Amino acid sequence: MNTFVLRPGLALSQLRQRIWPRHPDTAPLTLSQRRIYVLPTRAGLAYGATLALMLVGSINYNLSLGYALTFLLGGLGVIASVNTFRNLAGLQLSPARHTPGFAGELLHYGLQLNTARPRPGLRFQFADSAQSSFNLEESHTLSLPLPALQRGWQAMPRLTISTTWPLGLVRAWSYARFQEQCLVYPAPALTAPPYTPPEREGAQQRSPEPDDFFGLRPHRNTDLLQHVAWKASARLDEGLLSKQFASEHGSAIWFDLAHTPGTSLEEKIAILVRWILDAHASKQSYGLKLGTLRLEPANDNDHLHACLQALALI
Amino acid sequence: MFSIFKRKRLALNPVPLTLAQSWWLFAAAIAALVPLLEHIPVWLSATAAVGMAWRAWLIWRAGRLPPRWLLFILVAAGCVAVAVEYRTLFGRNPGLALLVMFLALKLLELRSARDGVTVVLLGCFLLLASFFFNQSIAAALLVTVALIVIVAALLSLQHVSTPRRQLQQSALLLAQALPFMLVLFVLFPRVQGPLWGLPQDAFTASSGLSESMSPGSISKVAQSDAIAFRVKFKGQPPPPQQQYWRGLTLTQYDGVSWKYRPEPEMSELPYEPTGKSIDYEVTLEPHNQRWLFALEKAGELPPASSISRDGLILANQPVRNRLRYSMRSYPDLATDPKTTVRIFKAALQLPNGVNPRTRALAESWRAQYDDPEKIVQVAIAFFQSQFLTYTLNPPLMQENAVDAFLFQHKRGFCEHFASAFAFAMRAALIPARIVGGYQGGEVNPVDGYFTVRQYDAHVWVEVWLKGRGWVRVDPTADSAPSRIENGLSQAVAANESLPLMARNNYAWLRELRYRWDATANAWNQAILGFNPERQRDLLSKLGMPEPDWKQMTAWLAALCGLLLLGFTLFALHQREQRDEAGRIWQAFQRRLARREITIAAWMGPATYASYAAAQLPQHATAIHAIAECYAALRYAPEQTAAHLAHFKALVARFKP
Repeated sequence: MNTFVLRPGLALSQLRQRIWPRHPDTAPLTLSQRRIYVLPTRAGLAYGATLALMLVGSINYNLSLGYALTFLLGGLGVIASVNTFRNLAGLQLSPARHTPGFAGELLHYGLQLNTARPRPGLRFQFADSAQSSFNLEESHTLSLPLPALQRGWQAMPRLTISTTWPLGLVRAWSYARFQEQCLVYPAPALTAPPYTPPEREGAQQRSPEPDDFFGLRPHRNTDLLQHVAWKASARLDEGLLSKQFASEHGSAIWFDLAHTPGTSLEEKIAILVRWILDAHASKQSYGLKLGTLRLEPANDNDHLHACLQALALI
Repeated sequence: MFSIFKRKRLALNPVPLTLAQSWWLFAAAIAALVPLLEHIPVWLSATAAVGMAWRAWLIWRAGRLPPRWLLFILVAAGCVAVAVEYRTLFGRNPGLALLVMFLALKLLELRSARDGVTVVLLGCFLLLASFFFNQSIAAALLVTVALIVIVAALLSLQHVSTPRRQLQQSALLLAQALPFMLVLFVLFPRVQGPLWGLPQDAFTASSGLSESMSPGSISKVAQSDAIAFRVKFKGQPPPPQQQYWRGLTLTQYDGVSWKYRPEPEMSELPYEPTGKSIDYEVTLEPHNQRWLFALEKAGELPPASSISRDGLILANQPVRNRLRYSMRSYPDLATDPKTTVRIFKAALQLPNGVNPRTRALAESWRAQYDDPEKIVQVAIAFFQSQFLTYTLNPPLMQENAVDAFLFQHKRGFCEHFASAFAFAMRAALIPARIVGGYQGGEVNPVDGYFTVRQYDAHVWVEVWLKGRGWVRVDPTADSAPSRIENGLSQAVAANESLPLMARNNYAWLRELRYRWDATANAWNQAILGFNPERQRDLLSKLGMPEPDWKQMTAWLAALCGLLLLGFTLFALHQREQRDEAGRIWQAFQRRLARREITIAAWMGPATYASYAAAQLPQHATAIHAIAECYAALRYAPEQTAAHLAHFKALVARFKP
């Protein structure tokens, strides 16, 4: 096994590794000359062809200034390539906070760009999706949209950063493969049956009366004095507590996957998402039960996202 | 295949041009057309102007572009118009006219960045085309300005900023391209054009002498102070009496005008030059004729030229570019190149029935004297006795012009003198011909070049005397000797209108003009005259022994590579230099990282501080202070050095 075997495949795979490395990039990623590729664009090819024609014209008619003009434009093409390359070189990228989205809509990957100089005309493109242009004046956080496909974690695809600035004659590009993922919430059902409280035995079946005691929460300045739970406050030594009443929550409702109508899991999830969104919009407290997972009733953004995340990851 | 193509097209889907981009492209089109305006037909300029005004109106009003079918009709109409104007669609000028029209019409279908690139490339090509007509310093400057505008338009397709900034950026890019241009200009292996036959219309008639001389034709040339050619003498210029620059002979006379008649050509001198020689180098402005100007009795032939039986030096091709050639003349050489019967006959030919008085006079001389030389002397004496006046504005003499000149008006320019003298000689049966060329010239005190201008155009006579061969007789000099001694201005009356440079007053203006001429000459010699030969000379001087195209290419590649490397290194050298505050903030983070507290990319200073403070409650105050200070440095509108120093001190004191 210690014999050296010449493996032509090895060099090839190394080369491929150089060009399309499998391993993800670590943040922050600085675009160095080794990862920036430069090739002429169609406009650049047309420019080259025009210069060739101009050179032939200059030779044929012995135009000294024609030579000069052609050579100046040739130099301009070279300088444009250097500038295009420079527009990417040294740009520092790192992933930033991503914004989840519903399946079928857009999610946004955050990308922090660090630069010491303005870089106009940067283009960002995920795999096959549309590209977005951006003129970077100073360090900035971008959020790049991508269609959200399926609920769950969606990995950040390979990102192509390119530019044709300043003259559009050459395109410089580089790839970034960050091991990042963004959450995709399940798509809400377009039409959902109205929520009906499940038939249950015992006291819990009865929806709470408006004046029913519901629980305790930290005191707020706007709370009425008569709602302060003096005894409990004294006992627990955590500052003032206020009594909470059912009416304050609206009627706290429980959404339970097990009691959701629908033929398939996905359909049930879609209906649950619809209910949750509707409840959130109408400022009702709601709780969510997914098998053993219980999310206590509340009505705020964190709760909404927690519920949606739980549903996304079932 | 088709689907891939389609997808690509979609990927490059035409993003509609913004208003600013449209204006930039509009400006680029104007910039490309301005240098050409005086060289294209008026109707074409007008059409282009209308098309562009239409476009400007559309941009202004944000109107819809005309439909394709209308543009198609316009293109077809334009092609027909060009075909009618030039009788063909092929060739240099019709091609140029078509390009001008396409550019104007392209503006009317400017929809996407792709169309914009087309306009820019067409513009570049038209700038090159303007050099067909004019390669002067002024033209070069004009084209440079136009190029800055055109490149700014190309820039605007990528990124629009303020016009001023855009022009600055364009000029900066072009300035960076200059070193490449210089290297390429000097080292790109030059090929002597043309690569193929030039179209017939490539060169329009230039000013200067033409193949026929009728009364008034030379005085017309003499109204111009354009430069005919420049001469660099290896020693002192010869005296004015020897400054006769021979161009062509005019042998055929039809009673009104004298015409050039081609004679057989030889590739070698028909005589052996001996005696004192004058060495000089002529830089001839293109005159679209074959004859090369030289002092009398040429001692050698420039390359690609021949000498005709009547002693003219003829280039193999009409001179259509500025031409430089070395010459040597032997003014004292007495030669008798074998005159053929054909030339003899031609030099005696006279139409019947014209100028009866002169003819009668000449025949009386012939009857009186046997010796042709004596007859010539008598004729010269007669011319002097007639008190002929040398003037730029002779009266119109159409029929029997020689009689009218000699006996009636007695006022004429050199063509009248020469024509009358040659006529008289022929009538006296002495072979005579008129020689057209230039006489005199002046030394430009700035660069020492001897400059011969159009107003130095002159004609004189050569008569054939047995034993002496062709002998020059200048009847103008005999009647108005100051013309030869001191030039045109001394010879004509003070109130006649002369070209500026021919006048003797306005010394400072002449001085200015001399400087300008010297600059233009340097430009012509060094830049416009940079041909394969000059390139070899220059490279040899720079230390490249026997430069050939392989060496030039190698040097070219090496120097361009070096330049490219230099620019790239410069680009890379300008690293990301994070500001001082950022650097200190990173040092702070590194310290916390040692305590296993790392920052996520999305965390701002405040978030990071709360996170770190929660992990290290004992340092919470310090951490929050540092974060607040950093946030203030980062986001506060005003920052001072004191803030930064405070921040630095805070971080330095922080030891988790």
